[in-house]
Amino acid sequence: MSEAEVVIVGSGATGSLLAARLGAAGRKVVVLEGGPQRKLQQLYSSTVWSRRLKWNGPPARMAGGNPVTFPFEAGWGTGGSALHHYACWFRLHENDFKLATLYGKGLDWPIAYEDLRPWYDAVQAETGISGDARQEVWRPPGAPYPMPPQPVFRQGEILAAGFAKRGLRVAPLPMAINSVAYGGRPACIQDGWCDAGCPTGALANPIVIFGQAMRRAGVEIRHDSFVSRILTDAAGRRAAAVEYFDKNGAKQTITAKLVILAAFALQTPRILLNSASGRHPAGLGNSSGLVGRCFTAHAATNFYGMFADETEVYLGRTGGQLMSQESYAKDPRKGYVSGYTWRLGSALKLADLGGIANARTDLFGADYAAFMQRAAKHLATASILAENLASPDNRIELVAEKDRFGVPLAKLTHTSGPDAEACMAAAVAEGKAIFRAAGALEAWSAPMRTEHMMGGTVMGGDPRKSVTDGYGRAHDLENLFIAGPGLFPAVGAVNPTFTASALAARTARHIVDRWSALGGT
Amino acid sequence: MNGASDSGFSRRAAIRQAIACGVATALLPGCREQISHAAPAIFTDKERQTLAAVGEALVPGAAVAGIVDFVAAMLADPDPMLCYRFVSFPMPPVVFYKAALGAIAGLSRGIIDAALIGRMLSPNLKGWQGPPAALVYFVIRNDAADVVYGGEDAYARLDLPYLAHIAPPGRW
Repeated sequence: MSEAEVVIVGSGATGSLLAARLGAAGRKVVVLEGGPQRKLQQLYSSTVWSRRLKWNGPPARMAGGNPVTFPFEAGWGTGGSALHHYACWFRLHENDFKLATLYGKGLDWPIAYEDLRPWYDAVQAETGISGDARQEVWRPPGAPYPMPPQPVFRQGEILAAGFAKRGLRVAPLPMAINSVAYGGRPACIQDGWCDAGCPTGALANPIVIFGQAMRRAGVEIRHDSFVSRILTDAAGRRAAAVEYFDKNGAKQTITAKLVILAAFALQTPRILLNSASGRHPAGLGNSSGLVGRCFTAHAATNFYGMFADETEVYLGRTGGQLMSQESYAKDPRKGYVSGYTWRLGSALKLADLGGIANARTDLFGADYAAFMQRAAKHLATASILAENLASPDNRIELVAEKDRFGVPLAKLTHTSGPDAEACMAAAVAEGKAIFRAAGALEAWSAPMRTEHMMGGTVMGGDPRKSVTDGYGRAHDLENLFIAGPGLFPAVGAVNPTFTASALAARTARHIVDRWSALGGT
Repeated sequence: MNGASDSGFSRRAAIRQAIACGVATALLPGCREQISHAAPAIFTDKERQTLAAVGEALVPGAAVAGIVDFVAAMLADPDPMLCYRFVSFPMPPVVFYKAALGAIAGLSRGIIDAALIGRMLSPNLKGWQGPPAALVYFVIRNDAADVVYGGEDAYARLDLPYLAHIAPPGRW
C-alpha cells in the first residue's frame, strides 16, 4: 500500500495537464499509466514502428452499425493517444454547447462557450497553436493564435482551388504544431510523420508540454500500472484508494485524497463499472445509470483524387494543411441537426491504415502496384468530420470475458445516428463537386468510418441525467473527478483534444482553489 | 526480430523486379525460395507457402520482401506491430492467422491467383471456412503493404524522400 494526495489514472493530454498543475500547486501527485514509458528518442519515423504507440492493453469488443477503431484511436504508454495525435486543435462553437435547448435534439453542456473561452485562450498560449484567426471566419471569439499558420504545399493549393471554384472559403488548419520556434520548442520541419509521434517537440505532445513541469513538481508516473478499480470509504461517499496491477502482475493499492480518472473514453467507464460495490451496485458514480452511455464518435470519411500535377502528398502534417467550416453551422431546415468540418491536404505515407496503401482498398496485384506508383506523386486527400448526437444506446458495458488481471472486458456498441448519416450524405455530394472543380482526373470517397472517442461519462447539471458536474466531479462522490473527452455531452464536428485540455485546465484550477473543501485539508 | 540485416540494395532490386514482372500469384518456386527459416516456428511449411503466395497476389513483391518472416516475427512478439492490432476481432492473432491461412488453402486447391483474391471480396463466398474473408483480405493486404511499402527502400523505389526524424532500428 502506498499513498498520494492525488492519484491520476492515465498520462494522456488531460492526465498530464492535471498532474503538472496540481503538482505545481504543491500536491503530491502519482500518475498511474497502464502502458510503458515512452521517450522522444523512441519515436521512430516508421509506419510500422509507430504502431507501438497505439493501444496494446486488454482488447475491447466492438458492436453496432459503425464500430469504433478503438486500438487505433487510443494510446499505449506515456502521453496516451496524444503522443500520436494529429494536433488539429479547434474550438467547439458556441451553439455546440446548447443542442437540446436550441434544436431539441442531443444534450446540452452544463457550461457555455464563454465559460470555457478563457481556458481555451490559456491553454492555447501555453501549448502554442499556429493558425490565422482572421481567415478562420467561423471561429468563435477568442485570443488570436500565437503563431502564424503552417505552410501550404502543392496538395493544399490544388484542393483550395477546388473549394474556391465552388465558392467555399478555406483557412489554415489550426494546429498545436509550431510553425516557428515557440515555448522552447522548434518549428515543424513538415516531414509528415506526426502519426509516428514527433520527437522534435514541434508537435505538442504531453511529454514535451508537461514533462518538465511534472518532473519539477515531483510528480511520479508509475508505468505499466493497469488500474482495475476505485475503492471508496465505508460510507461510499469518497474515493479512498485506487487498485492496480503492476508490471509483474501483482495487485497494488494506493490511497488518495482525490482521484482523477483520465483513462480515455473507454477505460474510464470500464473502471467505474468494475468498481461496483454494495454502496454502488451499478458501478461507481453510476446512480444515473449513464456510466458508459452516450458514447459518441464523429462520423468521418476521406476523399481522394488523382491529379495530373504532382501533389507533394508526402509533405506537411498528418492532420492536414487547410480547413473549411462552410457547412459547420447547424440548420434544422436541412432536415438534420449536424454539421461538418473539412480538413484538406493530409500528409500521407505509403503504408499503414491511413496511408496511400489504403486509399483504394479494392485494388490488389498489378493494379495495386500501378496505383501506388501513381498515387505516390499525384494523390490528394481531404477528410470530412461530421457531428453525431449523443444517444444512450451507444454505450460501453462490461462482458463476461475477462482480461489477464481478471477484469471484465468492455464492449463498445456504436451506431451513427440519422442526423449524422444525412449530414455525411450531403458532405460526400459536396466533396465530389469540389474534387471535380479542383481538376481531379479521378475522385472517390472511402466508406464512412468513425473518428475520435467521446462521451460515456457525460457532464451535466442534473445528477439524474449525467455522470459529473461541469467541473468533471462525479455527482455521486465528493472527491472523484473525470477528465478527457469522455465528459462531452455534445461533440461538435471538430477534433476533441483542445476542448478536453481546456476543460482539464478549468478543472485543475477548481481543484486547486477548493482543495480544502474537497477534503484535501 | 528484424530484417535490418538484409541488404537494402538486393532487397530493393528484387522487389522492384517482382513488382515489374507483375507475376504474383500461385505458389511459385521463386516465392518459396525467399522464405527464410530463421523466423520463429509459428507456421507450418504449408502455412508459410500460403502466406507468401497470398501476400504476393495481393501486393506484388511481398514474398520477396519477407511477408512470412514479418508476420511470424510479429506473432512471436508481445507487442506485435501488425495492422491486426487495430481490428478488434475477437480472436488471438496466432489463431486468426492460422485460421485465415487454412481457409485460403481450403478455398484455393493449390492455386492462389487474382481470381481467388477477387472471390475473397465477394459477399457470398461459398466454401470459405474461417474468419470473414474480407477481414482476412484487409489484414494480409496490409501486412504485404507493410513489407513492400513500409520501409525506406520503398520510398527510394518510388522516388520519394523518406524524411526520417529518427530512423527505425530495423524494418521491423
